[in-house]
This record gives sequence, C-alpha cells and structure tokens, in this order.
Amino acid sequence: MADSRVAGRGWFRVPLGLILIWAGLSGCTGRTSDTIRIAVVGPMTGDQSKQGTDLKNGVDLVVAEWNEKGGILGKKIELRVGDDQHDPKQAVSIANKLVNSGVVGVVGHWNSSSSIPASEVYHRANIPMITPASTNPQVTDRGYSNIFRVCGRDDQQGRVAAEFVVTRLKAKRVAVLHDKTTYGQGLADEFKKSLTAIGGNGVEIVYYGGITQGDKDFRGVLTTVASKKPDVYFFGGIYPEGGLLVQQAKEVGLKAPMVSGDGVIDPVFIQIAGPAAEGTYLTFSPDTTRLPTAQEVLKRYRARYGEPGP
Amino acid sequence: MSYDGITGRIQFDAKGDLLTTQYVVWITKHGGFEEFWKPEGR
Repeated sequence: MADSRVAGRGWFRVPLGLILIWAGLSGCTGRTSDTIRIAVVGPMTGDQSKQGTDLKNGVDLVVAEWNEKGGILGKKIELRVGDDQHDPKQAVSIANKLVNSGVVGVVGHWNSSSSIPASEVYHRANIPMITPASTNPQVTDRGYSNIFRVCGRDDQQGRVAAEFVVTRLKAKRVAVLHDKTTYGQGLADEFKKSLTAIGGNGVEIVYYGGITQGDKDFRGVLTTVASKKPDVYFFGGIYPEGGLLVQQAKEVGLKAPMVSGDGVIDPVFIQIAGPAAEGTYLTFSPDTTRLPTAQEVLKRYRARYGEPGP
Repeated sequence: MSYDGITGRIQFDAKGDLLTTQYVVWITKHGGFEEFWKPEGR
C-alpha cells in the first residue's frame, strides 16, 4: 500500500445510514424531542484500543457530517461511546446501559466474543446492531433480524487460508494455534476443518493448541511447535499476541511462516514484531482504501483525526 | 435491505451477512502490508 498501513478498516464499510433509517422508520423509543441517540462500542481502552479508536473516529466523523447537514428527520444525532474492553461481561454490561439510556442503534461491537453476548441484549430490545469486525458465524447464524455485519465470516476466511496453505504454500505439515477466544479458536477450527477437506491425506496437522490472551511469553509452546517441524503455523487470534508470536518464533528457531486472519492485520502487529513480521500471511478483505470513492472520506478523516492508528 | 456506501453497494442476506464478501491473502513486506494472493476464480 502507498502508506504501508492498513488504514480505515471496518469502520470504512459501516453503513451508518442504515442504523439511522431503521431508527427513523421503526419509531424506536429513546428519541428525545430534539436528538436521536446512537452508540459506537468496542475496545476503547486496553491492548486492542487502536481498533476501538479507529471505529469510534469513523462513526464520529459520519455523525458530525450528518449533523452538519441538519441531522435526520430534523433531529440531531447524539453519539454515545461504549468501552467493552473486549471483555464479554463488560460488553453485556455496556449493552444494558446503552439500551437503558435510550439508544436506537449500535455500531459495534468489535470482537465476536463481545458481539455475541451483547447482541442478545440488543435483540431483546429490538435495537439494530451492525458490527464492522465480528466474523464468528454465530453472530448472524442465530437468525436475529436486527443483527448485521459488514465483514466476512470465519468459515469464509478459514477456507481461503486453508486453500492458500495447500495450493500456494504447498505445506504438508501444519501447526494450528489459537487464543482460546470465540474469534481466535473459531477461526482456527474453521481453518483446520477446511485444511482437512482441501488437503486430505496430503496434509498433516502436527500440532493443535491454545495460548492465553494477555500472556507475554510464548516461547514454551513455540518450542514445542518447532519440534514438530511444521511447514506453516496458523494462528487464530489478535495482533498483540500475533506480534509476540512471530517475534518469539524466530528466537526459538521456528522458521516456518505464520498464517493468520483479519485480527492480526494492523500496524501495531508490525510495531510489536519488528523485522520478524516480514513474510507473515494474513487473510483480509481486498484493499478498500484505494477505491476512488473512498478518497474524499479518507481525506476528511485524516483532517479531523490524523492517520488512523494508535 | 441495501445501502450505497463509499465501498459500493452493501446488501444483506436474510441472516444479516453481506451478500458479497471476499477474502484475499496479504503479506507483511517492507514494514507494511500488501495484497499477495487471491483464490482462483474469485
């Protein structure tokens, strides 16, 4: 990419207008006399706050621009910001607070482990929720009519990762790691399932196991993985652990490349891993920041918040 | 339900998933990310 960053990820695709149109048409309660209240929720603090901040800024920009045009239905839009700290219990607590505060729509949450339990709250309240990043199939497979996502699914990206490992990398021995979260383990399992289906007897899964999100030293498990001599190791998880894994893999002599998913593709991954990040493969949507239709929005985002990033 | 946004038309299926999604493989290179590979026929 021109600026060597993945700028404007999930928030880029959030159709905020859908939330507002739904709110307007459904006559949701919570509209005060002169405002329509919506919320953006994600990990605004903690080790994944970069993602939450990008999301918040993107929504804030769109809300400000709608308000400059007069709002919707003659009312200004009021934006509430929720911080779920990518913790499922906190996500439910925030969801309840937002519902009680009268929001009529939610953009979020970021992590599948937060979106799934929080969406139960929004579903009961009949409030639309659009997640820009939660890829676990269960987010939408429950069939709730008010829950949407503007990203792909882990059964889709797991299949693409497996196809890449088998047909392009031609790997025969594959290790699979995950962070034990709804997203990370879910993606690893989808990858493993597709790997078996695509690779058949020609591919052996030489290791499968979890690490703990928040830990800082993975040399023990990586040493075990290295002893299995994989051609590739897959990681289902997020960039803080992904960065440490590739960095420490080199330290313990694991030379196989890491393949991972959209939870790792973030500039902070490279900041953490340093030169060890080179040659890591990540599944993600095609680059939307080069679309001609996106340039004006990116320009306005940068003018208001600077480059997307920490 | 559909919406024309800056990334094109967004349409949902009955479950709330996007009607059209695409994953490609990126690589970390020269301190950044680059698109590297996409599945055949997609």
